[in-house]
Amino acid sequence: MAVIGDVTRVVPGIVSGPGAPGAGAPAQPTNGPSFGAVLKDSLAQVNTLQHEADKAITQLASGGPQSLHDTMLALEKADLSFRLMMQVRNKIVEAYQEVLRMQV
Amino acid sequence: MDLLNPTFAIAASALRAERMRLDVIASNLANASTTRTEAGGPYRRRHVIFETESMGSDFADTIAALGGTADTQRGVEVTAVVDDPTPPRMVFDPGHPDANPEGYVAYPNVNPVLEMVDLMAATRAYEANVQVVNATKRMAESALSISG
Amino acid sequence: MPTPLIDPIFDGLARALDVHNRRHDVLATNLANVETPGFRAQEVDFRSALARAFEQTEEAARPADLVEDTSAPARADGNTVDLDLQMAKLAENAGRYTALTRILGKRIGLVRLAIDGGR
Repeated sequence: MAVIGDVTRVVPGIVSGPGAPGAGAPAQPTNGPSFGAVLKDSLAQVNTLQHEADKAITQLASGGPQSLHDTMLALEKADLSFRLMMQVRNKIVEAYQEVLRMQV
Repeated sequence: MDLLNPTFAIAASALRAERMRLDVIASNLANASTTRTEAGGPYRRRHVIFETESMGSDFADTIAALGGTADTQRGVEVTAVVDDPTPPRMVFDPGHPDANPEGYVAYPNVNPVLEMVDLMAATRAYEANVQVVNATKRMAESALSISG
Repeated sequence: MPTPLIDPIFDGLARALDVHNRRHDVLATNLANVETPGFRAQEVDFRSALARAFEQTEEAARPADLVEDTSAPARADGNTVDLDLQMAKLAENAGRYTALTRILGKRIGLVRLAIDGGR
């Protein structure tokens, strides 16, 4: 899945982008992990689920110890987490673009 | 024969075994009155020996390690077809071409009533395992609907 | 964001499906051996397995226990498989498996809708 690689490059760049200027913007209260850390976590999870889905498929295809419902579930989990990540990425891109449009 | 679900192999083994049993029963019934065979003497009744068979697959160890179902997948096989040692039925009929010097004819040790009982049992077992195949198919198909 | 995005019900349902799968194999084995002399019918302790399927413990994923099926008396050759009883169990088990897969499918469809629905 080459798309994961692409998104991984795009998203961290966007996260660090608006944070860098920060002139006049008050510092965010740091209760718990930063947004960047949460994002990295979920990306890692998407990656894991993709790998598990691949493993489930190959095991099923080669007649291994894999039940059909486990395979389907692994596929769906990977699909859902990926979709969610794409939506989050889109929202971030939108927000970034809106910030760029703002008159300073 | 894995076909996405090892359960098919269990039912298939039973279908094969019961089918063989039906063939033997059919042979017994067809020859219930055969007084003369190539080997000499009347036809001898035969029956099958059923034994549980472990559906060992290449992945049996892996499955067991994952706490899976290798220990629950056991089919059945016909391990032998044996002659019934019961002596033949002697019927007094001196005029019969196969009568012995005392005037008795040796008829096969086949009891058609018992064969019919066996036939019904084998048929029921065969049909039941067809239902297992159908149920397994239905379950596999429904698993595909997990993609919502 | 990491864990809530995957519905925790998914794992419980998956384990419940495993239990039904395991029971299906045991019932299939019983039916394959309905005419095998001396064969003892088996069952699966599916009630307790289903009960713990939705827990968050290590126990939750443990396969259902195998037990001897004592519902029917032994026939002359020692076989304890009651064909009609096993067929009834088979039908019931398959029906519940099918229902669970549909429920899971619907659930996944809803989560997908919630994710995509914004756009």
